[in-house]
Amino acid sequence: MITLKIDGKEIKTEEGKTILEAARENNIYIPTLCYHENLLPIGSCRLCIVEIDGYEKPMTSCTTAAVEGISVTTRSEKLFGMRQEYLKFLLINHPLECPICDSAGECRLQDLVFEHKIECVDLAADREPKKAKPYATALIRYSEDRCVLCLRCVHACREVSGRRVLELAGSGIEAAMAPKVPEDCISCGECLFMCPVGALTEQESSLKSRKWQTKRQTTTCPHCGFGCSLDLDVYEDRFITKVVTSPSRLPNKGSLCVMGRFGYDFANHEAKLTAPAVKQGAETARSTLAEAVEATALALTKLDKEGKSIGFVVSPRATNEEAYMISQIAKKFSKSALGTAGYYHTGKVLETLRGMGIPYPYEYDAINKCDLVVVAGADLLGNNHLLANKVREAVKNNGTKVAVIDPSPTSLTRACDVWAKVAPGTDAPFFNSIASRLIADTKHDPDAQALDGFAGYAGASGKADALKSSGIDEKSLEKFYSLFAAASSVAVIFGTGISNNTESMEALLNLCLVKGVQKTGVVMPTALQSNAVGVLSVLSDVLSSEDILNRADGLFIYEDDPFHYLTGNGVDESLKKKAFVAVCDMFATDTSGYAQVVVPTGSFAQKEGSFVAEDGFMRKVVRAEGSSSPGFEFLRLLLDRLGGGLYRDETEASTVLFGKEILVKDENGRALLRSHGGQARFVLPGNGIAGKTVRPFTLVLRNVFFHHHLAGQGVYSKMMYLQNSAVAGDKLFISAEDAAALGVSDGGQLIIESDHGTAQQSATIKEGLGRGVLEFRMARSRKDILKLTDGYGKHIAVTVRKG
Amino acid sequence: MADVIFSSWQGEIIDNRGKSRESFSAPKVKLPGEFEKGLPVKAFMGWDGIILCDESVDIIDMSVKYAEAVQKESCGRCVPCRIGSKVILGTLKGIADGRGNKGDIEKIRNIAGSIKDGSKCQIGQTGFIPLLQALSFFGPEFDRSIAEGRKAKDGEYRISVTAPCMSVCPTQLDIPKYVEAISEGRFSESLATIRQNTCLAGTLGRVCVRPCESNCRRANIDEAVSIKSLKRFAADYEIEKNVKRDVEAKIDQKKKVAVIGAGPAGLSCAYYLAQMGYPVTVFEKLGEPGGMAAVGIPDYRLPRTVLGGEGSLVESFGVTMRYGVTLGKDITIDQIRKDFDAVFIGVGAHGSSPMGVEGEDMGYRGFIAGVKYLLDINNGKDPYPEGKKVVVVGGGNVAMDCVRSSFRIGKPDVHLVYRRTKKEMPADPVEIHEAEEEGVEFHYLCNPKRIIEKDGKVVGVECIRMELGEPDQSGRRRPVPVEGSEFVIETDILIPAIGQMVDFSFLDKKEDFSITKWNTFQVDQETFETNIPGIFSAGDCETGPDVLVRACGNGKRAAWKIDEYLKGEKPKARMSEKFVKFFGDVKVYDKNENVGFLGDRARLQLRPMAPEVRKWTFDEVEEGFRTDEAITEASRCLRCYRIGMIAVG
Repeated sequence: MITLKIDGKEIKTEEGKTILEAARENNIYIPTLCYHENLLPIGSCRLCIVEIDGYEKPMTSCTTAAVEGISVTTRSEKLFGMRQEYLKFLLINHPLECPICDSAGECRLQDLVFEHKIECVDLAADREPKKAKPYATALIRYSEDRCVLCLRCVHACREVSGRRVLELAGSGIEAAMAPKVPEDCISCGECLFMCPVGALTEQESSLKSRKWQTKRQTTTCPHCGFGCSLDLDVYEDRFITKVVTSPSRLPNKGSLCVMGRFGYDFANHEAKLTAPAVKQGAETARSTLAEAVEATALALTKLDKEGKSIGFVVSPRATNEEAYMISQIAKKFSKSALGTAGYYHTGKVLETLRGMGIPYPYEYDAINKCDLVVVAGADLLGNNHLLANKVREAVKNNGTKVAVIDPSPTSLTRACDVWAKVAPGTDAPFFNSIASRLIADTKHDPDAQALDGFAGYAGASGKADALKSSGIDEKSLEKFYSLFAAASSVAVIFGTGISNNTESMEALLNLCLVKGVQKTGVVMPTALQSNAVGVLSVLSDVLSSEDILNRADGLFIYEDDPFHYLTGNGVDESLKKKAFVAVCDMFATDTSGYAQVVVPTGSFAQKEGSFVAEDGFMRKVVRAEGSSSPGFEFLRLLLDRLGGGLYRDETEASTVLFGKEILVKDENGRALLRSHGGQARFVLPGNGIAGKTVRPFTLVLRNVFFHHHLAGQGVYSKMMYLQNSAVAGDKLFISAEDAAALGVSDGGQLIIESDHGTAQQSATIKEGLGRGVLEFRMARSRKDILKLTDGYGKHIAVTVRKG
Repeated sequence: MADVIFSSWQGEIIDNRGKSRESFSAPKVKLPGEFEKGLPVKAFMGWDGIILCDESVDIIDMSVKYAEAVQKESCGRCVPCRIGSKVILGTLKGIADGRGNKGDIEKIRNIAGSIKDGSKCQIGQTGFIPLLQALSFFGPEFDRSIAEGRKAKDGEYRISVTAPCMSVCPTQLDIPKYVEAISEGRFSESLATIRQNTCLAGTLGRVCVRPCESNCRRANIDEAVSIKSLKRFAADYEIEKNVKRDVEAKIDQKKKVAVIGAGPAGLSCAYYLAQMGYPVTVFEKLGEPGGMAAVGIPDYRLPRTVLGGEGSLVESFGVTMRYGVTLGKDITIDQIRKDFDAVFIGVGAHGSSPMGVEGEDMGYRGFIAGVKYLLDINNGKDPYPEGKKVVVVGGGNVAMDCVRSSFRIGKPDVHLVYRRTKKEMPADPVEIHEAEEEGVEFHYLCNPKRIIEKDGKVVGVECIRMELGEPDQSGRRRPVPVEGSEFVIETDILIPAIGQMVDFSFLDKKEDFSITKWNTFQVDQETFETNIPGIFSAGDCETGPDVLVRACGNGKRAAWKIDEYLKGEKPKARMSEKFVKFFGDVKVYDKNENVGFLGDRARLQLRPMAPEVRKWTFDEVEEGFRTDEAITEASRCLRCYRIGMIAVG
């Protein structure tokens, strides 16, 4: 700690802090415009200038280190005059558009001008008139004449989002922020978030409101497993008009991805179901909630009495409280089973972690302490963009190295130190060979030898010949090995590319144990959906949705649409056979057409309760509009009707979760999943290669942001998210080499054949994609490509020919 | 030299206005009379003040043009400079147009003050210093203009931007720009900036003698920025992160150029010629690029892969590399002259200077010239396996390379003999320090006199003690032998590393060329042309043994001249080159300047391997900066850009 004086007050701060940081910690206000805590200091606005005793010139507090013994003055006539002058400079060409500017009322320039008592600007500086120009994404409007050139957006685009879209162009008075590489834009909206004025505003809101007309409520993003905090601006208690974020709120510190920032519009969609519907004979009629409860209870009880089984499919986006209510409802029947789409990834992951005794939950910020991050089989662009941001933060602040293991370019390949293009499903031999080499070179964690199963594992792992099948080049293998062996702490992030194949996942986790990652670093599985972890923890003995679909006689589907991820024909056949189907959802879905009872559930903005994000920590879901959640209301009444007791509200259900110790509180009072504990142990490695069929290509399916089950329903009006090639969806990608070998040019037709079906798609050539790999990014139209799979598949063996 | 009528340069006020020429007082800093032939230097306006040599210069016009330059150079990264300079420019233009208002001067003075005190970098911090001085010392001219509505007289000017670090860089790297890019995390842009001025970013980032760092203004408040290591970071980042180079060869000229030697000078020359569209063929005796940098600098200082990558960068611009082709043996200069429209000779100085000791021409085994010793080691060979003990003679970097490499080929007992003291050693102090750490035994103030041999093998060297006498031409005190102080150091290997010279054996007819008395190619110092039209030369074979970065710079400049020659123009110095010289005269860096900022941020150093580990391996001694370190170190740069403007008409 060092001691310094600011405005006569003696304060203490850590060495390495800037004067501005020290001042802020001590609630000493220094005006700033360009400074942002998520960014490296920019120093463009010059408003945070201070004077330091013994030094002739004013210095910016955001870039000057706090030094032991200095005495700093933040307020003086001279400084005030300079700041006033600089603000006047900014006003010279700034249009007086405050009445029509979206940022009015929360504009940093307005605040600063007011604070500095500026009443008129008697200066002139000729500048070319600014014409409206398109921005890098149609979701954001760029009003160049309002720009104060603080450069936060330019810095954020690189530093936070890892893109290179924005640049400072021109010089002198004509210098301007310019979207120089628009094709690199992923519409994450980081620039919009950073803009302190109204230069960047949300473009496509059909409904706008002023700051003072809306109610602002903090809640949790419903879109992926990261669990971002965001604020909803709600107008008239009915419409979300904006998503706002605050840098002070963890875990995302104000950053979001395209879905979090702009994907709220579905909640306002007019097609939202408003009343339950009950089928009587061939007719479906609008009903009251009580009628829907009665009809459902009668139908399910009847099936139960007949000795038939009832299956429950619960969305991994439902809240813990909803899931809990459903689990209680299920208990009322003798033959019931629970399933979720979250099973395919998160379910398998949690099972394996528990089985191998690897600690979970984890903390995102643990990445910061690691000197190597391995990202395996996780795109981090289609979901978990924020996790990629965390990795970039570690690189920026700690020089952390990054290794990517993926057959296809991902969000982090451009910043990584090694990119191992392991062929899909062949990760096991790759990880096993790394592990056996670590052991042979005695670079492994010495404690690993004491773990259960080590002897068998060390003997069986790493057959060199199997490595050849992973298609990895020698150079990447060597680089990966040397980085991994040298690292003192490693964070291993893995996604569906790994969990899709049990052997791959076990091999990766074995490798983690060999290195001691679970002790010195962090093992970090992603989750695709906002409450996959929560739903899988609240429900017990969970199966996959497909299992439920296949075996149950009656179905109760809560906010899920199996058509979204399973083969269409299979789902159709199975639904047609059911004696009874109830669907609870926000909109009519493909599945709700088969239902006897359809009940509206409302949007995430209407819900109250909690999620458990992929880090295992609880996130609060807070009602931002309306007075109740129709979905929870239905579940509450149904449970009561079935004799399970009447729960008052969501809070009562939450309390039960803590009572049952599904959720616990840590020493800081934060709620999280109870750790499964246990001693780590190895599993005997499989070295086999996935897939029995001998087909030369592997088709990898990826979801692009739209893993939300409503994506295909056209309820996201802002479909232009997908305008940029960086995040383009509904496209089939092929490597340039394979395209050439097949004689297909960019845009040419390909016929793809699997064991289960045939599809035709036009091909897009993608730089960097591994040979023998096809990639399909699913956005809206997924039914056609899902024909190729039997059930749920991420990697599909296919044969390809020119169409 | 021009007579100075007024000067406020470097705080020294000389005011000869109204005086007769004979009674003029003379300033410390003098200006050359001409900027180029026929263009007199009438006045100079720069970051530190004004120098006026000709009364016909209109101070108001000059102020307008200088403000225009500031506004143009203002990068837009801070408010005061970007907008404030435009406000001043507008007001000044009003005065120059005869539309000035009474309050203008006060307004300009205020705004200039807040730009000077609050701007982010030296463009804004120094951009209005000459204007403020003009207002102070030439106030009546401004007042009169405003009162009379007089229009200013349009003058002719030459403008250039420099910085203390840039001004002494032989290859004129835009240091503040590439350092700033690193501080903002724009690493590829940083490398692109470096590559505008050299193709050898990774090489210079390791072995440059860094004149820039001795001229770094940051040293005035704490320590110089690690400019060299930041350059290495930018170059390494491309390799480590596997960044794709955005290079396209565009060869669209007809006339062909041959470059002889793929050392720093030859590579640089080829790199620029290819970018100007010329088909270039490089003839290189060795099997790899780099010349002396490849075979003279050991891998622990400069891994060959780095040079290899930079050679391939040059190739990617469309240059044809012909490795393993020895001039004078595989091909003659006459043949090359026939096949090519211009020739560049950059063969370096690979010959060893004799020590002038008894027995050195006897061919004793164990007596190996330094350059040859390093060449063998670099080719993976132990130059003399039976020798265990090594004595190296010399105090330069080659001597350091020889002693340190000796450990690395497994010779544990290594000595260095130098006739002066450590203080006078020309080698990089870092090298000397690291050699000491590794355990080289230094023998100062002694000189070899005689080789002691047995059966044609070196067994020892007789040395004599020296003492320092009067300073010689180089300013170093001349060593004088102490009579009767002879002593013997037993050794198996004796390595003279006291200097290199040009080996002309590749020329069939050396007599065709003018050769200097230092045994180097005689060229026109402005155009690098030898006495034979169409043949140019630069690098060590022209300067004699010199630093790598000078060869880079001269190779580049020679490429510009070759272009002019091939276009049928008379080669001449570019304006930028003239400014380099001019800035050298007016001095861009003042090590006594009180910068007025709080510093107290120590310079970050690379992490060296432990001496006991590194001395036995050719692995690189130091690990490059991590990303976070590079950003932190780069953010120490004060971005000391300065604008110089000369009134010529």
